[in-house]
Amino acid sequence: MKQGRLLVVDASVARSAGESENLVSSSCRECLEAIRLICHRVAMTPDIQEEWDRHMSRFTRKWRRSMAARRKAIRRVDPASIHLNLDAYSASAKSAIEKDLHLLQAALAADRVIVTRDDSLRAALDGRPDGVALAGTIKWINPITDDLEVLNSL
Amino acid sequence: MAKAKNRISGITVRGFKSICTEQNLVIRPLTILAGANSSGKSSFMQPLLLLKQTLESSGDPGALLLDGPNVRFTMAEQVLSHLLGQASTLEFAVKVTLLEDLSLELVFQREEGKGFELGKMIYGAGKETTEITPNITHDDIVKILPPPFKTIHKELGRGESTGLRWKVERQRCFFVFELVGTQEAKQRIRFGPYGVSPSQGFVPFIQGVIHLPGLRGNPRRTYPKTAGGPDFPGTFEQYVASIIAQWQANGGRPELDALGQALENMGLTWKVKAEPVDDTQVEVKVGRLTHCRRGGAQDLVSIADVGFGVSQSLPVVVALIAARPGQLVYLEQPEIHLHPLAQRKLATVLCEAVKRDVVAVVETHSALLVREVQTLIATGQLDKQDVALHWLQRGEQGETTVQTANLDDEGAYGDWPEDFDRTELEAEQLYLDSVEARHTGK
Repeated sequence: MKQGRLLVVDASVARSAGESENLVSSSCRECLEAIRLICHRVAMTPDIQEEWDRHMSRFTRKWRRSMAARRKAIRRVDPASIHLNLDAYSASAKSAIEKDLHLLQAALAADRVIVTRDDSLRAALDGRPDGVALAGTIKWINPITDDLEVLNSL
Repeated sequence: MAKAKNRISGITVRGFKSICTEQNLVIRPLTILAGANSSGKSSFMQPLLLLKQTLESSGDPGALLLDGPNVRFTMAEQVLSHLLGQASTLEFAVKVTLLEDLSLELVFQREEGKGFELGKMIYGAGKETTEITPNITHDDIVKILPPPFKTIHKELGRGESTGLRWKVERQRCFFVFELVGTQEAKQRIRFGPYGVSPSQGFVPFIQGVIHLPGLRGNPRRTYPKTAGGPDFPGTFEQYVASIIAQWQANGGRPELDALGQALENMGLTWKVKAEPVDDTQVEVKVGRLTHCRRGGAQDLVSIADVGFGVSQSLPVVVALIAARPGQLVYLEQPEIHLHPLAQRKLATVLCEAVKRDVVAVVETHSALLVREVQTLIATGQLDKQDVALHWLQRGEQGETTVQTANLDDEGAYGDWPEDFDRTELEAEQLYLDSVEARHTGK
């Protein structure tokens, strides 16, 4: 059996999966289902957990339950420390990074994969060399714009 | 309550209906059989039920009573396996294993016009097995007699029993060693034909099986008076009214309290009362409300006047309370007619039975029930070692295979076949996709 990877899944994906927003929601559902079927696991830090709990829908609740029952989730990870000179970033980039820093901290403690439908974190990191270097160590997957086949090749 | 030292711990079947190749079911205090319709869940338990109804038959049923109260077959062909495009097998086998590392395998062979004849009986004690066939000789029997029986033989071999010989006879679904002798020897001995069999230790466990089928009949105004156990020939639902009446008559407070509490937790009723109507009939009355209220003790109605949930789950709860430690209770679809909340609470009733060392084998389609069992494990109320979770599925040729999940401390089952979860997620996904499509006008 294929060895699953420990992924960080942004709560934005969880939230959308439970809605019926044009194309976005179905893509998020397909992504979560692909993660489940490929047998990847999901990393959770207290911050990510809190966000997930806030955005839990009927679909994601069942998905999480199934992941737990199949021992594919949810691995608690301690957030890794990140060294970025945030003061060197623009105000908007700094704000975007701070908002989603917990995803980076979790990804570095797990298998360096972030599944998110929000590209603003990655765009913000691109503003500075240390951010570019950090972003380059991470595999970014956007369920709306990326081919989900990528989950198979992790 | 005393813990059972021995109980059925495994059932192995081959050649029976869709179970073509040998498949084994580990039986633990709570054994769950899940799988799609016609995946072979009932088929796995039917050989055991065939043995039960054969042992309980009042007349001479032959080696197997095919058409009885628990299982109904009319022809051997209906019993035997046949894969797609292949002829039927000519025999089937069932092996019952007990906790004390004893096993008894029975091989039934098809016999034209008779149904089945017992072809072979294999007794296992630890790693040693003894094969018994109908035509083995006295000398062979002496060689293969299990140790306890050798002692008997040795004793009987002395003095007045000279001239006696062992032979194999079939008694119902088992082979029995019978001591027979010449007229002269028979006249000398003071006892009649002496029969012993390794099967004797298995009979209480097989005959003691409590069987509650999926179809439990319509609720009735009155029920015939019956015996109140501890063994329940046939199917169990016919005994329920009399068992409750007996608990009441004997001051069975713990049983009645457990019954009321279980039904109340399931949101069905808070009280059940059995009232003898005459010398032959009992009426079952239940509380009209789900919870106890002031003056509610008189607010009882006939079980025929309330929802099916009560009448269908009452036998389940009574069976689990009435069963003695080590007794196997086979429940087919205990969740039928139950609201999701009651399905969840049913897991707690099963858990209580497990704590009394009752063996509950549950055939179910209820994802909620399975989920609740997992939760009970995760919360430490149920020991994972007490639970066996089996998934039955059929291959392309129609053959049944069993996959057993090893539950961990969190009640998680790991790489189990997709089914309940996948179906639920697909249903959710399909609904949300449909709403999404309506919003976008597609």
